[in-house]
Amino acid sequence: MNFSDIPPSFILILGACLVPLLPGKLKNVYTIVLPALAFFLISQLPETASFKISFFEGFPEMNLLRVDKLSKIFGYIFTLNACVGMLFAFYLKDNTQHTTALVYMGSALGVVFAGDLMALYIFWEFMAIFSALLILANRSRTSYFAAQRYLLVHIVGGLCLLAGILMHYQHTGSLAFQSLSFDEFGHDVGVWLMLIGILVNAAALPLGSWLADAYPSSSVTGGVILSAYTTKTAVYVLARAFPGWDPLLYIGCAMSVYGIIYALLENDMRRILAYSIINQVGFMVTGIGIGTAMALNGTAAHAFCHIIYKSLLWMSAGAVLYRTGKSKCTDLGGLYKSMPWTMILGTIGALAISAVPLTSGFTSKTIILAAAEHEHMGWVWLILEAASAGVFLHAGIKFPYFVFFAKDRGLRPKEAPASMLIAMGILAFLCIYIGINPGPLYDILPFEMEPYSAYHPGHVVAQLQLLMFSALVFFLFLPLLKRTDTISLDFDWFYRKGAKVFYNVADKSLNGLNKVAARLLLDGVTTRICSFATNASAGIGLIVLKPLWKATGSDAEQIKAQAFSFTENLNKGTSPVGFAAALMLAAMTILIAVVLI
Amino acid sequence: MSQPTKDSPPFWESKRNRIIMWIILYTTCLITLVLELFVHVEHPFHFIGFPLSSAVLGFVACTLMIIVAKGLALFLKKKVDYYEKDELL
Repeated sequence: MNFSDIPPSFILILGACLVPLLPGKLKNVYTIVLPALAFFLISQLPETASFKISFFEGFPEMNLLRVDKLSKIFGYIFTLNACVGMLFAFYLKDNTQHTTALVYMGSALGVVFAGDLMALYIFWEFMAIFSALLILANRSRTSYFAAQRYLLVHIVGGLCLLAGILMHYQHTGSLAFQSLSFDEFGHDVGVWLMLIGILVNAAALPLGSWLADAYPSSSVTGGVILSAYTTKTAVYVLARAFPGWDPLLYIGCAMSVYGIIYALLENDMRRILAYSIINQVGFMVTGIGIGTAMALNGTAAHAFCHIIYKSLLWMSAGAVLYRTGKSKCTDLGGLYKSMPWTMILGTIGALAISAVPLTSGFTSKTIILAAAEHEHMGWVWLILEAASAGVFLHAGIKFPYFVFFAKDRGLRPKEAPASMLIAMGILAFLCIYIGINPGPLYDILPFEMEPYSAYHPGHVVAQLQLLMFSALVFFLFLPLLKRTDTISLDFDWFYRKGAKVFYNVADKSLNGLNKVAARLLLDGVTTRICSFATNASAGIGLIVLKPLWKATGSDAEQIKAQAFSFTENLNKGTSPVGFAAALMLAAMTILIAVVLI
Repeated sequence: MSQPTKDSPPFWESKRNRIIMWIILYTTCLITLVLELFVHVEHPFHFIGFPLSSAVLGFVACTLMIIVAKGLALFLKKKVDYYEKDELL
């Protein structure tokens, strides 16, 4: 085996084990170097590389390394984001967060380079576990319960995926991780189960409320790391296995609108960004549903750029949270004076997500719309175009406006630490660089397509009109958009309230049944049987002796005393042996007769 | 964490500055409309095949989204402790 056959995931997953052993800042430097090393390894991987191991007897060898342009583009952005994310976290001394983050990111790499469905599943579950641990690492009451719910949802999703894989294997005899055409597999229950399991991770409607619940409950750096990987590995798997599946068109379009509506309702700045993830992933899922080379390239390009600007947005929100301890829009505002660089860099991210010309969103997301146009999908194009306007509304303007401007609450925190600013600066630079010069990004897109350029004058003018009139609506309707200190119910209402109802029903019915059974059987019948069995001999003796004592003239008090004495002698073994034995034999005979009857 | 302080008011709290910002916003919107006179904007579908369609689409779409959000807020918005008293999950 040579260096180029090592799965990149190994570097992060195994390298994470050394983190607790390293002292001080060396630990933080190490956490940046590891993903940089993985990035370099990916750049050297030939498409012939493979890493196979035997895992289950009776199953084919598991391939942990499959390299092509699709896996490479996701590998590049995952490792690049990991480097910058760990730079952002340079102030952090928490071994738990560093270790779980590295294993989580390594597992995402494992999914991306998985060569078959079994390898995919194993890394998939690793991701679920370590992302839940990363949420728990915030060590707050909110994160404790959020991590519980997160883990339960992802266990269900993972089981769907596993069931689907096993059914698919039984049906086809193959664990190949490859494109499954809708014509051939559109009625296959196993493949649909796989799709459902993957859509849970993609936060698809209505399975995605875990995202806005869990991510904002994580720590400052946890949120930055989490925002990139789970959903984008799902996008990768969908792009690999389900290109051109029509249901994804509807799901993606619904996600893109649902994310905007809920982001408009939200008060917490990180929940706004969480719903924004769902909105953006909706574009990617729609691109996969379109399924052409251009659409899939658009999805890959959008995922690449989205990870950059979304991380930047989460970093700016994280910096505000770090300095102020607050995340609600009702508690924030007026921070442009004391956190100007955070504001400027965050605003660049906001412009990029809105696909403002000269930013990375304009040169990536618009490929998906162009693909819809090429395929004459008018309704898809219309919904995505409307959603593009909505993105500017909720992420491009609302987020920076309510956090950095709006009502001045008098907060005057210090600017973000240098490491955070440098990390944000790197991502902001990339947002603008890719917007001005998308050539290097287009060169690594996975599929061949005709040359694309977003910078037709007509396209630029149309986009500027769309965005400026979206901005006009925001400020005209600003009185309606005032923040309130509330939460918005989502689809997780069904299992959060439902869990309480289920618990109460189970408690009342099953525990109630338990109590009745205990009272009647344990305390009642069993006790009585034990008592009878213990006193059977004496009882039979008294049945015969009491009438005799009465006949000999004993009164009630004397009979009682004689009965007590008789019972005591029998229990202590001081009555005549033969008499006692005869009584015991009689008692046993009666008991056996009762049982047999 | 810092304590709230009071210093000079934000620039947007001045009525004059607010008027200036509205003028800038409307002027920018107008410029994007005027540009269409000098640049050919392709309309990919017939239902969007009229002048200034992107501006109309942006305005109408965002207005609708805000109206829908406000409507949903009537029964979706709850107090922040809505789940906490029943916290099991």
